[in-house]
Amino acid sequence: MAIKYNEKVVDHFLHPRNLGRIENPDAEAVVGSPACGDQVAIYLKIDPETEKIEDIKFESFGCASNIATASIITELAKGKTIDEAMDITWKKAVDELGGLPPIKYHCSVLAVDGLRSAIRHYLMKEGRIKPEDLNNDLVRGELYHVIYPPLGIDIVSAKRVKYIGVDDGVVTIDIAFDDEDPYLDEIIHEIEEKVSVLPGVKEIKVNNVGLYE
Amino acid sequence: MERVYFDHCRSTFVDKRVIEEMNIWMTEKYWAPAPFTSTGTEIQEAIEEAQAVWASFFGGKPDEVQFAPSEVVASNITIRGVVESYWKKHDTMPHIITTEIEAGSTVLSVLRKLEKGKLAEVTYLKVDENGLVSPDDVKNAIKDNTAMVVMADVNFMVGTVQDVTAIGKAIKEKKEDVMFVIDATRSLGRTPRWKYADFADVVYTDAHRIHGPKGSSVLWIKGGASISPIIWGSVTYFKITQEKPNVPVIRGGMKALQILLEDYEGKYEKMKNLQKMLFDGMLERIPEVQINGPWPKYRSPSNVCVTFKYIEGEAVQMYFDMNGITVDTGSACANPFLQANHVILALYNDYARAHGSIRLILSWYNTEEDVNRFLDVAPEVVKTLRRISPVAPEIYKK
Repeated sequence: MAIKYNEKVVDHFLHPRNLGRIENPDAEAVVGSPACGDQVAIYLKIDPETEKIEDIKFESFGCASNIATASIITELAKGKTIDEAMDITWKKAVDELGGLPPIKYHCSVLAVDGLRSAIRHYLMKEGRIKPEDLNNDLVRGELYHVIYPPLGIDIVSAKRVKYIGVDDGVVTIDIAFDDEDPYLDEIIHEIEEKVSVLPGVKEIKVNNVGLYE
Repeated sequence: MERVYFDHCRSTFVDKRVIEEMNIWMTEKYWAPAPFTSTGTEIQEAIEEAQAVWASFFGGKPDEVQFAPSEVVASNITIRGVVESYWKKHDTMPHIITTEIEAGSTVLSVLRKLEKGKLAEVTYLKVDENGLVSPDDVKNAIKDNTAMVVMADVNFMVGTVQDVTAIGKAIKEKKEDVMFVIDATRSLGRTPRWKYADFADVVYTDAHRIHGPKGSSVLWIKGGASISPIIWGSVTYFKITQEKPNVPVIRGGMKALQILLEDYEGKYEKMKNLQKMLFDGMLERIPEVQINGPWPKYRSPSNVCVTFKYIEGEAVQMYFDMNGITVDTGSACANPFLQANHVILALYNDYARAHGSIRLILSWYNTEEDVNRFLDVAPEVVKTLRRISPVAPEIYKK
């Protein structure tokens, strides 16, 4: 079937909402890199009393899906508390956009990561997350954001994550993919990228145990 | 608004004269080739005429020209045919020399499978910053078990025109029986007018990039070349490809070549002028444009490949598309396996440059108006996306 963008995606791509930077933001995060093909920067103003996101802006080096998702996420997050904003998933963003082609789901994840990462930076600055809080659940939470492109679902739901271990900042992750899978390098790269933003991570070891273990 | 099309590496419209030619062989003279009968021999002669037209283009003999249904099939038949022949003759693993910038869908995918299956060992030669392969490097890579050197004469992504004459000479000087195989699928009409037989042993190409029909692949295999058939079918017409002749497509491909040859130089010069307009226009109107590949020397006249710094290629491609202009990109985002273009990486080792790359492939049917439409739209597209980009310097944010 032809892979197309719907009208809402195109609208957000051509007319991104909340575009730009915030001077002296309460929190910010830059995730991804131009070398990886996409990068998103998120800037937040947070009301310290209500913990509501008063203002949010973004910038993007990325494709149409990436720009459109970043745009819709800023709309979803504005006015929400940081707890509520933490619960915005890539799936929610994609639904709000009226759907994306599954091959593009992974492009939509980065903007969500940017928002979560910015909030996490805020919580760390406030001393509410500490490096020693790193555990399996936090790592698994990040892996929910690594999409296996052919299936358009995350690698945890696809049952491709076989083991997670956390030992003194060293995170070990076993995954199960065919050695010749054309997406393998991309998956490993994305795992490293996502887990590395967690507080307290010193080293990440990703092992592919193969599909037929 | 009429569509401006700059993706002629991937498709061209079929020339009306080609369609008229094909119609004859689909409706009036739809017969099968055969000896003796009037219908059969007329078709035989029609095929032979096509072989003769291609043979004179390649510089070989008519019966050395064979037809295949696609470039994927043509590259498989050629490369695997040489490997098969080598094994039969020597009962040992052949060595193949190629470059790291070949097309992924044809040469590289076949070679990687051969390596995996332990059917051949492969040397991937490095290229310089212009994408050029050095004849000395080719020569030095030849070993006792080298069966062939296979490469494109024009690179599909950045348009580098290889010095195939010097490379062919270097190969034969070192070892006479090493075959020089040219993948010319993307270069027809886009090289200086040379005779392939002067330097190559096998050439395969396709007329669908010169306004011929899809599936009009043609192979020229020099008489006596060591190549075994890998597809078994009918040996009545084509000993290596073993295809039954698809007469309308063969005639359409022939017609497309004849039209190309009517004024080869004129078409070449026309593309060269449009190419210069595009490069000059972009450099003049847009700051920080990186030209990918050689310029102005060593470049095929139909290839324009650039990166607008700080922005991503698929977004650029989408913006042009929405303005009625079709271009291609080397961005991973537009690649089904999410990999950045390997040619740009080989030349510059710069992922951002590969993800941001935009490629235009011209045809002689493109016009100055097409180019002006592109140049009118491009600065605004780049400005808009740089304003969005977190990596663009402050000056682009206003």
